Amino acid sequence: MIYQDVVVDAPIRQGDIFTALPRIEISLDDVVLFEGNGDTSTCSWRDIAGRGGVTTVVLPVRPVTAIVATQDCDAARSDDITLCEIRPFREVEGKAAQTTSPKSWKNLITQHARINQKRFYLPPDARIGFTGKMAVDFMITLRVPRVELEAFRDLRKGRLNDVAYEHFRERIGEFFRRYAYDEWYPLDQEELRAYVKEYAGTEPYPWQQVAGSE
Amino acid sequence: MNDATAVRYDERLGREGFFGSGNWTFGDATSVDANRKLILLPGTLKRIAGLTLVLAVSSLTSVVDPWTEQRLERSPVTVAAGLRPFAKRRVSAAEARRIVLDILYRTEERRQQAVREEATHGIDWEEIA
Repeated sequence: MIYQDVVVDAPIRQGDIFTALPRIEISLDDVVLFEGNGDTSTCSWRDIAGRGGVTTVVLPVRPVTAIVATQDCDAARSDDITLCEIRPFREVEGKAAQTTSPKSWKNLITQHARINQKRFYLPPDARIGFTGKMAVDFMITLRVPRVELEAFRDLRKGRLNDVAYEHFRERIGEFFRRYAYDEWYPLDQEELRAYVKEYAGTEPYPWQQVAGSE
Repeated sequence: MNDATAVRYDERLGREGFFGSGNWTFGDATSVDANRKLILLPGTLKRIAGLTLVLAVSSLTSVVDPWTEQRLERSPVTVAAGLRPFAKRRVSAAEARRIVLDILYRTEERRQQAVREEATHGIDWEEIA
């Protein structure tokens, strides 16, 4: 499909797909401390932060598939490499939960992709280990030491081909360039009423409260 | 002056190269001709020795460098939570493991919940199709 093979010792580049990289989760409410005497206890992160200094804690970690997000220059030199997790498409795009027909898939993969900038679609390909439709979830990042990742290049299953890579590079840029705004601000009163039906709790702007006001 | 032409951006589409890693050569604005001989004019050695002495002595001072002092006093961050007493609860290794795994499951659950909620809004592609 949209992937290409890569020789094991090739430099790490943006768009490279790795498997079984460690993703760590942390909770600020429940932190498990590992004491010097081997005891374990729990506390809030606030307690640890207040003390300052270095603390040893126990964190959950699991292997995930991920794609290199770091741009090529940094991937060659910087201390760390950032990757975005790759997850099953249905887990990233809720609208795909019940999708079955090719026509609906076509809409989701093409038209909806223009709107939802949080993900990047990856089609199945057994060679790379994707048995189903997958997606890069730009919201979930992991960071690994570059030099150590280079020593684990055998975990790299391939990379995006030229067409997919160019698209991916732009999409990741767009994702981080997004800015937050209230999309309902230009709606007139009737349009706003329809909007509020779907998004309860929407606060109208002053110019939307009285008909004909500025 | 950087020789920008040496950066192999042109290989970007081929993706076989290692772009951004060209030979960054520097112009000769600060270079010295290694073959040039040092000519000592009369009195030059005396002047060099005098200048060296002045520079060496001028850096000796009994005043502590205020910059160093300030750096020692200043911390780039303050943690207000430091005033709070440290509160922790002792747990067994088995409970610690349960808590840690629970963090993992809770995170995934929250994420899936957010995806489901987001899916209820916006364009219904099934309907449009």
